[in-house]
Amino acid sequence: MIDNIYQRIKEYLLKLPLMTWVLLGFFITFFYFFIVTLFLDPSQYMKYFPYNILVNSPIGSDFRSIVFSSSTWIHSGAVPPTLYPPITLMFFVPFTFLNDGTGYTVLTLIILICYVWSTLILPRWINKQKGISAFAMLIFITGLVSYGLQLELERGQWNVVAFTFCLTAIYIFHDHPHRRWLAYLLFSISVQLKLYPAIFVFALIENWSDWKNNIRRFVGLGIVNVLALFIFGSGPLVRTVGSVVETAATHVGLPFNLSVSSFVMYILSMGFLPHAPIIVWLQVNGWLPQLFLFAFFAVCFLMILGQAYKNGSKGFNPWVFMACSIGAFIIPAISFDYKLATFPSSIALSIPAILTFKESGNKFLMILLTFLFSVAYSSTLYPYMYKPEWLQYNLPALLLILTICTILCCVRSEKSADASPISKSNLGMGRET
Amino acid sequence: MIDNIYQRIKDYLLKLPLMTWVLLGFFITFLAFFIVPIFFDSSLRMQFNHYLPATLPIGNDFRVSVAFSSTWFHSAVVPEIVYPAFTLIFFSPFTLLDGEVGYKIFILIILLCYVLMTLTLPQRINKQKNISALSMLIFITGLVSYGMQFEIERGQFNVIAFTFCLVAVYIFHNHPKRRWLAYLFFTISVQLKLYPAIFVFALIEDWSDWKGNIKRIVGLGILNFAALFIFGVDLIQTAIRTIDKIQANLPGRVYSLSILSFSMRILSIGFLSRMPVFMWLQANSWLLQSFLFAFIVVCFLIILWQAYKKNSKSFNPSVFFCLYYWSLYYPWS
Repeated sequence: MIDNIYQRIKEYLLKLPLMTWVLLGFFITFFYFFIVTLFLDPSQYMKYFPYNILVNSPIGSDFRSIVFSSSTWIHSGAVPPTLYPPITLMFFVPFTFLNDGTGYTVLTLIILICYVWSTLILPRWINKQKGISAFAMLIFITGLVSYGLQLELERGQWNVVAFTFCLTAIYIFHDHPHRRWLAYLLFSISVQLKLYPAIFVFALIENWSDWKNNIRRFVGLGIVNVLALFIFGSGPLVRTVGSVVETAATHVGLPFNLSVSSFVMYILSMGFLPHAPIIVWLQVNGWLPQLFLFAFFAVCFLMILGQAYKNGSKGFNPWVFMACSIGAFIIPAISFDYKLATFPSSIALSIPAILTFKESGNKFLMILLTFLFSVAYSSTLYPYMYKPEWLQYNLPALLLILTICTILCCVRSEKSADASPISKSNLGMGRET
Repeated sequence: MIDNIYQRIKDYLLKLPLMTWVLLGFFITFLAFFIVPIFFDSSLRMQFNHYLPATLPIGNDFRVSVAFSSTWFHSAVVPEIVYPAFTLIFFSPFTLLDGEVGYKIFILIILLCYVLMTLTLPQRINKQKNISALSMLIFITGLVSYGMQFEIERGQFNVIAFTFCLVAVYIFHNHPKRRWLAYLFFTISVQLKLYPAIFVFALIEDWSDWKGNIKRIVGLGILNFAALFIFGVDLIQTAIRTIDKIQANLPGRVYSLSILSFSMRILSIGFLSRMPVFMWLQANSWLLQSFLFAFIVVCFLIILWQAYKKNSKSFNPSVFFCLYYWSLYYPWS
């Protein structure tokens, strides 16, 4: 009798669409990081968004700063040191003709249009879908009101803009092979705006077995982009590197820095850690846990690349793209939370093809991984002040998503021999790659 | 040449899926009511506005309802309340819990009811297999909306009452053999908030069977009217007096949805209030109220007439939508 009931419950749960588990994950983080923070504060008073400490005055400080630098360059010819590649100064020249307020309004509109373009339109085109799926809508709307995008707008950053250039490049590369020159141009603009999109060069591979051409493309794009860094000579670049190193040194251990180095410093300085000799030793030798985390990323990344190569993957590869996205977040020493504004685009593009039920697959594993993914991703949508101290850093969530991605990539590869068509129980938006 | 371009643009726009226009509408309000107030403030600083008239302690309406229920439960004295008498019974389980625990459980119930009424029940009533993009858009935007946050902040029970009502509508149309259960849920819903009574028109299966429909409407009406007197006539008289007092204070408040409140508000807006015609309307505000009321009644009657004329069978979305609007405009909404 009990066995029968258990069996029926199990069957019912296993038959539920993956979207149920995605929504459950979102709902759990919504409850803990939104409802509890806002409505269940011990003060018994509704607590309004308390991340004022991150807010700068005047608003759009990064935008105003780069426009000022651009204006200095255009009027005096001197290249001021910034934290960004020198070409950024050219990109912001049009804004020097506008007053600050108008410029900031225009940038905000550009960011929002880029967000719609990169989260709703490009993923649909790249995945060759006809309509907007429920999953795409979930990711789009939650991203639109997320902490990452709000911080991006508040600072007047241009991660979403740079990422949109990169994603458009990927789309053109795979879907319009005759216009690849345009893809390379857009990719280079993206890299020259923010540097970290360089990692997405792995998404510009059409045929993984054609390694000769792939290496040629990598080298070509690498040379162009390295040379572009020296567009104003080596002096400005050296000064930029100096500024980056200085800023990185003063911004480690902050919960809104996504980088591995920052996370390690943060975790080792947390109050609740025991004063055991091993912790003290690790604090002195912080490079070791950093190395471990970098090695973990490298292993996952190489496994995914290895699978793509082994399977002779053709066209856009969602696993590789997701691994690149995680790398772009955690590798740079300065990687603030506003970069998370680009995460919904990555998720909308790659996850539908990654999280799919296969007739021959382990459904329980897929449900578990879907649920974990959902909790991990949705946790990145909330400000760190909304979370308990040990969950404030987003890096563990990002590594968890990378791990899920790696597991599914390997599992899928094993099953590829007997893979059957996607069942109706998937998220309903991916294309078979 | 220009005609050709115009034709192509027109064709392109007409071919776009409806979702594009839905999203465009959402995007415009998002820009105007979220981005602009938060990021484009003249102080040049991101704004964290107190967008709700929050009270201390949080969950005030819930706490008051539980306190009344506790008074009745422990002393058998029926306190003066603004809600139907049944709410005293409904909230009695919360009297056994500590205030904070009760409020937490209440929030969870509200959220579960929200999922049920926004995602699950519409899918079942409309017999859809999967969640559509539109459902997801409505679900997520509603979950973080001002209305929902206000409901939770006050510890109100509109979502719970409406869920009971929607479950009743679902059972009525999809499980005809269990209609007694639908009537029970409908009655609970009405006894919690009164205004769901209007949804009795959603409990019509065959619009041509007017005899059966009138019988049902009258039956449910008598049952619900009688239930109001569960604790005697005095309580109802007191409740009506209290509601009158609240009603007198509400007009002109921005967060009141009623026609009365809207008329008072619109007539007192700065530049309008100085125009002679508006000054006259201020003195005769019943005219504007009557006009708006008549407009809603006319829309309502047209939709009901269409349902009757087309001999609509089973759940009628137009009627339901109209009923919902109707329920928003009652005097102390």
